Amino acid sequence: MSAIKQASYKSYKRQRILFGYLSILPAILGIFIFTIGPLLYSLYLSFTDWSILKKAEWIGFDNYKHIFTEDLFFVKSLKATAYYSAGSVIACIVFCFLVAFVLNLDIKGRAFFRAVFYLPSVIPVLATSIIFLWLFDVDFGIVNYMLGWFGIDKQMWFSSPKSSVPTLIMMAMWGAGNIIVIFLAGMQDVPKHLLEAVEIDGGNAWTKLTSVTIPLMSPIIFYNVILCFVNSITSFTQAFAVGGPNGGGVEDSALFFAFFIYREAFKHQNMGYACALAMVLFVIVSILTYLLFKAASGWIHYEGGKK
Amino acid sequence: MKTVSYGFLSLLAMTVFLPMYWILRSSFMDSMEIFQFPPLWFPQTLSFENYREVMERIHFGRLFLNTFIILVPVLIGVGFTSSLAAFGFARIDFPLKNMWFSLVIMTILLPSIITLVPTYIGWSKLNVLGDWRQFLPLIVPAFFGGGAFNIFLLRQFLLTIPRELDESAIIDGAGYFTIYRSIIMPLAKPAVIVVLLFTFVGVWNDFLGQLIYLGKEQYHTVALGLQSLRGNLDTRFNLLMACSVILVAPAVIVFLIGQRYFIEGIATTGIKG
Repeated sequence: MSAIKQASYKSYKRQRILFGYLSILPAILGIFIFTIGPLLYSLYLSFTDWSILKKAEWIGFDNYKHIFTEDLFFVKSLKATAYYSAGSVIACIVFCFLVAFVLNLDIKGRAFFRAVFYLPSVIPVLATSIIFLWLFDVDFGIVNYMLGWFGIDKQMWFSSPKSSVPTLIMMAMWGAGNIIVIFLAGMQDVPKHLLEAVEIDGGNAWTKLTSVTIPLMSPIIFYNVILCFVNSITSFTQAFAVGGPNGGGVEDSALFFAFFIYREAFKHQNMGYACALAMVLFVIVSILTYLLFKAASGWIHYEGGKK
Repeated sequence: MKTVSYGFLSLLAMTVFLPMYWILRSSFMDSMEIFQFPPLWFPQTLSFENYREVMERIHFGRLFLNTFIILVPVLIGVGFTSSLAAFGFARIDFPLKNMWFSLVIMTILLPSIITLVPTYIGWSKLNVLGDWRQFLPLIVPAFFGGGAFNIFLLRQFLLTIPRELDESAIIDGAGYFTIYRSIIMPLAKPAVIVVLLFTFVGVWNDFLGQLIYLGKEQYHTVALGLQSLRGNLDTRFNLLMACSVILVAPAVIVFLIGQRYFIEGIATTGIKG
């Protein structure tokens, strides 16, 4: 290589590295300013007693002590969030997978159905919540009216501590059309010859599903599980909109953790305490995500064994 | 088998459609009709009275204006910074790239509620929350990366464009910014449109952020307007429904315009590769 070429190669390489870093700089800065920074700040604040009016006061582990020994709302919100999260992840994944599977069965009008199912996921959750309050109204809602056709008694839906979370799960399923679209896209990539091979061996639809489709789809299933999981943990607007004046639903049966943090910080002005709650949530989510990834590594199938 | 599938899908499609039809129907009814039992499937008179009353109670012009004051800069910020980061991650080799990329991806897994309170306190310490600057907390983050999910999605798309394009441009003496602007971005248009559509829906859908930062009524957005209306007239469901239609309509219009991109976008650029 001539000297000139070498020099220009060097400057080209420098330029490449420089532009590489410049291009990701806003994103990386953003992570430090809006994620890592707040996390550390939150950790610090969680050891203080601070309402907006007075100065922050260092109180050590008192917030955490209060969370784990005295705060009944903590247990309630943890239960409600776990119930909603597990329920909506399982319900949405199973249901959406089923719908995508049916849609993938050589159906005409697939594009039409896909669009119809996707539409609810662009509708603002606040509007969805208000619509569902109206649909599931005990006396005037159309759902109870339609159940009446089949001789089923009026249900309480959002107005009973027993059924408020299940009703919210149904609402989550209604808005989960994007999951169907992701599943459907993945299914269209499952090689036809593998499915035909199962058919030749005398397998039925069930064998096709369990021995070909599900294993090949496992990375996408996992992706959707993570997506649903993070979404359900963050659910706030639902609880806010259907939960009545204190936002927790009947007897705090739908007191989601996100709403609980909001209530402590912005209604009760306990900023330090809210930060301690956020840190607890952070630890719980980290552990759960780690376990999900760990469990996934056992059953996720990667094409060609690549990771 | 086929009949069963069609039956199942049609029933489901109707179930999905029903709530949307039901708000539309209710929005045209007066307080008498709306509580009639058994419920009426069609409004008897197509009355726009509810819309008129809602418009009178809330200054929709201002609510829409405020929403767009947030929306337009956010779209610019997200479009520019997320595509730039995706370009760097997909098409340039530099040291420690994978480490930085993992960091970006990890933030997808972090629920936003965890950083909400400290971020709010940070902004309040900067004293921006008393006046028009309370829009800033909802706008500024868009200029810092534009969301890990968007970067991920765009990167997946950019990986599918052949590398030879960049190489030949470099031989012709083009710099990286030129490659980004004049070669890659024009090719990535469909994916960028998807990201912008998602961003639009995201802003329209972001209730919590608007609720905590936009304290003054004069800076309220459409979603906050709907919420405040709710408090005032909890039982006037016909008015609430009219207002919900106004909130839903822009999202549905954007969906109808961008439907093809939306669905193809998630389907082809989303998660595969």
